Amino acid sequence: MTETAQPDASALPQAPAPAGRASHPLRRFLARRLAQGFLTLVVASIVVFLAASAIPGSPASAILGRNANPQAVAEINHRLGFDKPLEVRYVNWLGDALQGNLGNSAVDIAQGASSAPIWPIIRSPLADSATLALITVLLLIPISLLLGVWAGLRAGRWQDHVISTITLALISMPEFVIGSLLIAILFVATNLLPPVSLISPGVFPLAHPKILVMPVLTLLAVSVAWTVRLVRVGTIEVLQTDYVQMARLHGIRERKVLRRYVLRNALAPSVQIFALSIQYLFGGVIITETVFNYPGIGAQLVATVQAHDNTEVQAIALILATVYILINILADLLVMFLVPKLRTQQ
Amino acid sequence: MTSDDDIGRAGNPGEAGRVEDGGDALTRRRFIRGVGAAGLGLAAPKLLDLRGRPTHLVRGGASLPLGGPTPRTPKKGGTLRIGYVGNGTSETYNPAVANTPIDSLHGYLVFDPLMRVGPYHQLEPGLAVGWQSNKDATVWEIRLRSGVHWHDGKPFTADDVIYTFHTLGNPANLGHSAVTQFRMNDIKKLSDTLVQVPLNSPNADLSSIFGYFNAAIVVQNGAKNFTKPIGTGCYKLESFTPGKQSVLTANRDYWDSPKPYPDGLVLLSIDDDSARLNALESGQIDICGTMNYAQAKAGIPSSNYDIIVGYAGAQENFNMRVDQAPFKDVRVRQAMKLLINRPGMIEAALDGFGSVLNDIPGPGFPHYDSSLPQHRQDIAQAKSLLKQAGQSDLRIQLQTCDAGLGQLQAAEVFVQQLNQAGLKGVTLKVQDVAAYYNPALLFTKMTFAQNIWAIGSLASFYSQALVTGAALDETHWSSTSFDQLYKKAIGATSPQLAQQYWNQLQAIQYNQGGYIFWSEVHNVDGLSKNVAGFGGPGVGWAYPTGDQRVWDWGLAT
Repeated sequence: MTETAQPDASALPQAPAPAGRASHPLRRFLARRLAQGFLTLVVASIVVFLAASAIPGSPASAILGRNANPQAVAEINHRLGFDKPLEVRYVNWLGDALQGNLGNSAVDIAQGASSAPIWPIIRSPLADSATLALITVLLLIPISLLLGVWAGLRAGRWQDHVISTITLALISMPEFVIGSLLIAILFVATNLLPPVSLISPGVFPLAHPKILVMPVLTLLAVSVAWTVRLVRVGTIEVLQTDYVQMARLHGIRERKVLRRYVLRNALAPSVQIFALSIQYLFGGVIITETVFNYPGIGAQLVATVQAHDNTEVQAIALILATVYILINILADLLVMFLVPKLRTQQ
Repeated sequence: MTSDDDIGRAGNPGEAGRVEDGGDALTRRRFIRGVGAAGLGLAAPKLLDLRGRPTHLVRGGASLPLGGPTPRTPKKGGTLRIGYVGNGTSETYNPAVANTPIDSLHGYLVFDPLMRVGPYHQLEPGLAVGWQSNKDATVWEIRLRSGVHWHDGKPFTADDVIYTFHTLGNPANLGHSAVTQFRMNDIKKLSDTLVQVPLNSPNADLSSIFGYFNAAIVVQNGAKNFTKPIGTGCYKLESFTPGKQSVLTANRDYWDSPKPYPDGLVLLSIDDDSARLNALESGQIDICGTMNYAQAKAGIPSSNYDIIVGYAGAQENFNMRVDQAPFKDVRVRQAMKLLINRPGMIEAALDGFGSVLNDIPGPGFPHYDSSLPQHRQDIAQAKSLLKQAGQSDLRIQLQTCDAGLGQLQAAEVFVQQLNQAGLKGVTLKVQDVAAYYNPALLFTKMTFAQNIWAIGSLASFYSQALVTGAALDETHWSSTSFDQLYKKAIGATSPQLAQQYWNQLQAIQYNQGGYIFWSEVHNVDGLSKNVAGFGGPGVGWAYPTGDQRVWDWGLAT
């Protein structure tokens, strides 16, 4: 078989060469996606702001407790500027956020602090969650590809049945069940690992790798089941395409067929699945963090909601929304690189 | 599980039997084994402490001493690690706004109270060592402990106490009710260790107000910033991350030497009940503050850790507005008090970790009237009263929220009990917690609602809930003669006379009031076998948590 017989986009008629830098399809795509991302972020900021404002109660009522007298609550709300019109508060907040100023923690200010910037408060939980997510992703991608492709290639055989059954079982189990099972096995039964991730604030989690094992395994179990199954389906679909059949009929070695035609095309839909998993992992895995008392951004978000710290809730939600949007854009770009014909369609 | 109050005093075999058979996996044999494993001796039921409260939690003839057995004296040194339910990022060391168990623990670690609360709610000297009043109890002199120093080396003086009283004068301060009788501008420093406090009406028992956390804690003269608090307490704060942890070191100049025993203390916020218990079992913490009741039941036979059940000071109630129909008619209120099955409620909502109340709060506190006969479920009598009041088909909505400590479950069970008694028109409405306990004090405005009180003294409860114009007048009780009686009660310098007035006040509420107080909640803590100095007979707290006598805590080895 010659290169002209390749079934991917390189065999398709090429689009005319772009006239200049601005019209390069990738750049056009990127510019469009960034603009869409920004608009999405603005919409998200409105939703986040309204949602945070709709949380019943206020920092004042959370701080002063159930028996707080209304005058004391009103005094604190005035100090926080919560008595201003909603739209004024939103514009002020968004303006500051666009300049990189996430504002002050409402709870700290209500408690009498003159200044309490949010970024130093959430920096450490963000880093802790990112560490957890990164380690999980580094394990998730190769395991998913390996098992997914293997199950696809062995579709209908015992290997496929074993992998499919295990992944189905994992999908059917909620995070806290998996976490609790791991605690039962790795702590209660064998006492191999600590059941709770107690880390002093400011200490990097990698300094105590043992405490990461169970949270990572839990997240991996939850994520890998979906990704393996979807990579498997993608692989089976590509294996059934005409161009793979043609490649095999032309006598191309199976390894080359897999590498050049199957894997590359099966990866494109998988990228979006991985992107979703990464968004989930970076977005604060509240349940896993709660089960292991891991000090990540998910636990921090729960703590701030509990404390009615509206400004900190808004800041965290906005950061997470930005991460989601960026991961989406990166995933789209990656798909464009993997599937050249998409570039020509822009 | 039920208390001996239910068995010993209720004397209703039908009720007690139902309670004990209430679907509980904890058998008598398991319980006895657990008591043995925990090193706790058996004691006969029906024992009452010197305040007239049960001393033991009873189940099937075996009993667990409330507060735990007398603890060992700790050894010097080591770091004590405590896991507690946190309060998110709003955790604070500011006693003026502390409203959760972890925040009161913060206060006791770093500061000192004027009066410490000892076993059986008896006050002990803290920073105040003497209280002397004039003949009619309108002017008090408070003698302060000498030789005490703040963590920054400055001496503790009368100026600090006067400044604290003035901060309490701010209505936003949660301890404000303690100083409403004070003539603030007339408070005088007589010497470095003597403060004179004139009152605008007599109060014969002023010190009792200063056992309650928010009012008791003394802050340094001029203190405003509590992110790095300076106290006189047994520990110095080294670092604090709200919602995560506090790291403290022993104050080796503490006035109550040789306390504290440990060299350091780490307080961790671990909100999840399972994670907190796992941390205890794995040895990552030494004290697991507040176990949930299901865990406590399962853990009683544990050989890994001890369980301390103590009075928590939280009093559960339903409240009826006496100024609105249908509760305007006293017969309807009396009927409701006869329709509730208190032991059944304790079993269903609190897993048995509660003691029956008698529609007035405060057993164990001075002046509580324990001679009033226990109200019990009497459906026939209740229906007769409702019929007389023309409310045989009572239609009313009970409003509540899920604020923990079995509040929602209790409301569900109560509505169920009323429906089973034939009152099908009683329904339940569950509100969001923050909406229910919102700044406008919504929960005080409802016709039929629910609450949990943590009281520091009878006077503090009556002044906040029942005196005309009280800030938290849930039942909207308003009576000039009742107000006058209350003033007489707090102003009576003769203990006998004071008790007489208090008995009259309590009898009025017992017979006619809008409160149905049904249970005092127990708190359950888990301790590693290496903890010493924690708990003890009669140790509890005027807060929804157990022992907070932090100066006594330490490690055995």
